Amino acid sequence: MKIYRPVLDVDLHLLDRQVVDRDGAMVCKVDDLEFQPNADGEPVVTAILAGPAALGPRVGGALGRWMVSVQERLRPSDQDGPARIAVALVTEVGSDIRLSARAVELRTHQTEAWVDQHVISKLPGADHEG
Amino acid sequence: MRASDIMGKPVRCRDGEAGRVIDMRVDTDTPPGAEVAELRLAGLVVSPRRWGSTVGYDRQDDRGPWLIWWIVHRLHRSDRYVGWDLVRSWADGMVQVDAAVGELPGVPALPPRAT
Repeated sequence: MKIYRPVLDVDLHLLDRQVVDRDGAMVCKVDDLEFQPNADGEPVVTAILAGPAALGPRVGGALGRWMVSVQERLRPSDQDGPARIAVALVTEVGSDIRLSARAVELRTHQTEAWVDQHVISKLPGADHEG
Repeated sequence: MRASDIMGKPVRCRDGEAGRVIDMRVDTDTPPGAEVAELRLAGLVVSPRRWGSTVGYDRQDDRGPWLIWWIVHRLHRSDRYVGWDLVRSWADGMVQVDAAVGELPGVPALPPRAT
């Protein structure tokens, strides 16, 4: 991972930044960050979290709870919590955040995919291209 | 732990409240532009005010226009930096710090971006 500053402020330099895959395609925004203790017990960034389940707690209040609740209802049964991108996949942190993986390999849009499969595709005329 | 567990939470010192967490500082222990193994949480930026902090004028000395820089610096002159080693807990929507408010240093300026 390449970074152009010796220190970063999470809100100023990481949160809400665009995440871009290895081909330059937009993946998601950084909605939250996951910290876990390293071998010395110090908290280190371990993952980028994205989607309504990550953004909801930041928004807070009734709207934030509603966002998390919607994501919990409209999600695949095998995805618990927000979409998670391991920090090991990050290659560069600059004005955007670049990954070594392709967007299709990341499960960052499972809620949209679930809605597409279970709701949109069942609407009359859904099989017609626009 | 998530960033949202800490961001925006009130900070309680031994002798009272220091403000709210407006940012979390991570460091790398590597020169700018070098390969970084991990982003370690170093400390918290605590302020009684939120306004103006999102553009970074309060933590960078090399940004203009100077009038906005000056106003934001005045508004944030009482901001404090809490090293992570002073944080005792962050449960129940509050960050507990093992120091008095007056013992907390000001916020170190961010170094400029390497090219």
